[in-house]
Amino acid sequence: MLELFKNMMKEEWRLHSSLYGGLLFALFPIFIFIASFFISILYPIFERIFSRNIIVFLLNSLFLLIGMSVGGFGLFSREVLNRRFGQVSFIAYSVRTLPVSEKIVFLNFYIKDIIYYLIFWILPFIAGFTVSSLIISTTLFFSIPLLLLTSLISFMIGLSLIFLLSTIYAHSPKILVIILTSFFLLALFVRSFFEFDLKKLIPSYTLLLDFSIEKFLISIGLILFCTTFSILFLKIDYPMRKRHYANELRKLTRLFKFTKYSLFMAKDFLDLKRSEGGLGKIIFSLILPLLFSWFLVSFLSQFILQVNSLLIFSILVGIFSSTIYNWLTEYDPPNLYFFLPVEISVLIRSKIWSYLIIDTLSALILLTIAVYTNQFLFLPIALILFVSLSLYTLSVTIYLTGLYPNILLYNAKIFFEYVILILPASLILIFLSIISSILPLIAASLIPISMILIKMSCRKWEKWFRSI
Amino acid sequence: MYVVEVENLTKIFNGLVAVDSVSFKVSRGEFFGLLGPNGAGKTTIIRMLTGQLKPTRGKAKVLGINVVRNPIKVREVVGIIPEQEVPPSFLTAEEYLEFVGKIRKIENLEERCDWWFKFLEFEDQRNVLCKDLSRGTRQKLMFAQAFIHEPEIAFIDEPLINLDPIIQRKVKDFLKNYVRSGHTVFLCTHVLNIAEELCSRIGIIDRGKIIYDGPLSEIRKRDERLESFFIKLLGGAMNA
Repeated sequence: MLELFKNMMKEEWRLHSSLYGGLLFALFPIFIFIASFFISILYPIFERIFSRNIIVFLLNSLFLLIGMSVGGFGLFSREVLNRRFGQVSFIAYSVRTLPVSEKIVFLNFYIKDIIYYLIFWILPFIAGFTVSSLIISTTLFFSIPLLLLTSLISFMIGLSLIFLLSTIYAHSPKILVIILTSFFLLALFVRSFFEFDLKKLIPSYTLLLDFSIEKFLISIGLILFCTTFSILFLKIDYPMRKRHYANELRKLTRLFKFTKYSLFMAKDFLDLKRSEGGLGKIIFSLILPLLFSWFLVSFLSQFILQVNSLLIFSILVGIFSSTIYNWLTEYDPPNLYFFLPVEISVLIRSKIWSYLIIDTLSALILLTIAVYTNQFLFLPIALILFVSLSLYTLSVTIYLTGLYPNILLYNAKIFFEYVILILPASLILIFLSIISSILPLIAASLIPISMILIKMSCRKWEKWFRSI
Repeated sequence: MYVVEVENLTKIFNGLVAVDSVSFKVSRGEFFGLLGPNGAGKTTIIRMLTGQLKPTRGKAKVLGINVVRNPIKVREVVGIIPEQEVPPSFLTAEEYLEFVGKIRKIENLEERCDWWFKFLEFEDQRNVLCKDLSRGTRQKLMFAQAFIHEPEIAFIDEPLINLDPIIQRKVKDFLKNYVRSGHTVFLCTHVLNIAEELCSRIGIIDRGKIIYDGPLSEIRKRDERLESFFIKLLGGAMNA
């Protein structure tokens, strides 16, 4: 058992060092430490603007989201890694060749994730916070050990929750959809008719605000329940069988006939439909995070009255939906086309078309929220913000990473450039959305900029592919 | 008439010379075999000749097209079987052949696909996802995609690996007939008996340099098997 655990830790370390490049990878905890230090040094300012509730909520949400993304990665990590390294296999995926039960192997995998991310993510973050707390004049209203404990609990809740949902999904995607829809409707009902604070559903949130043994036990109980359920009902779908499909390429190519990229778009949609995760990918990687962002934005808008929650949400949706491009490029390496007469610019443009079609899902979510919150008046501006930001983020991603966003965005230099190009534009638009409901229309100017960036990207990556 | 003209072609990867000032020509209707041990530079040469890799120095033309200036044009007219079979993961075998056919703008595509599925005996696999196909079937698929547009010249890198003996026989006969009908094949392999059976001319490459270029008949005239000739030559080159 211990040997298995040790080897999984080694595997995770080597995987990350291969993914991000040895030196850059080793610098990552330091990067987190520095980022956390600089953010927390602004704590006295935050404390004036935001209430304790918000600060605690944001801190907990951060680690909850990290936990959810680490868990979500497990859903389609193998595809991403196969693309990056060729045919890879993890110890966890080779359990059939080991004289150990699947449950034991996956329990080890789960514990490994907790310890690994505790050491390389949570501890550097808390260390940054600790060092800055020695410098700043304001005293923190919580203790550092308590912050460490609740951050870890939030991370574990996020991780175990996704583990639980993916276990349910492995048994029946339909049941998962029913559970999530029921939960969503119930939350809407409770929020509309009762004065129940939905945040209290995240036990670590109340724990940092006001520690008590009962709350601590509830948090641990939630994690244990999700984990035990997931391990007991673990179902691994071994890709041993040969999957047969009727020819759908012709039908889809005809469907997308309105563009000259219809053939490549048809392939994109078949990749999405037939790959591991399938529908789950859309639920876990787009719909759930967007709903969670809405939850976050609507919560914040309760405290900052001037904030137009729909406009802020539309900015977040615009930025977040650019991750669709990452899915579209994760299935097959571009060298699939190297021996065919296909220009890289054609591949990039076809991905943009596929992106635009899938992005209508994000627009639908935005529309639903506008209907739900009765903010029709702001819907046109919200849509302009969403489309502009979505196109801009996409064009920056393409310019910096070409057809390799899942690899190059982990390069510290490229990620830094990405942040520099996206963050100021987003912050300005958030600011404009707070002070006015007309000024955000300036976002439309990002559309021509995006078009130029896309043109430049096509030239840049065509040249790059020819030079290798 | 030459269909491949190579002059001082060189490729250097991070200071490592993979192909070192290689020059040779291949005539129309020739079955040219480029032989050499692993890592000798065979695949790098194929990749440069088909516009997949830019040479560091030197010139290369395929069917009169400059491979550096017009890589896409070259790929339009040639057929290529890459070293490793890479059909896309989530298309079925049939969809993949159609995909390639549509990129190459082939007419009567369905007919041609049917012919290849029948000829290589994998009709029962046409609706299986490429990622779930066996290596041999994937190799068949890659073979079919390289020839589906009936190119004038085909660059094929280890095309018979993973194929069972019956299909190997069929493929070898197909290639022989293909060359007989005036097409050209540029074969890269380290399986010497395949080269001996198929090629009319061979080039032997070692550590990026062509160390032999001549008709196979010359070797046969010396009453020598290709294998012993190759080992002697390489042994000599290694000892040098």
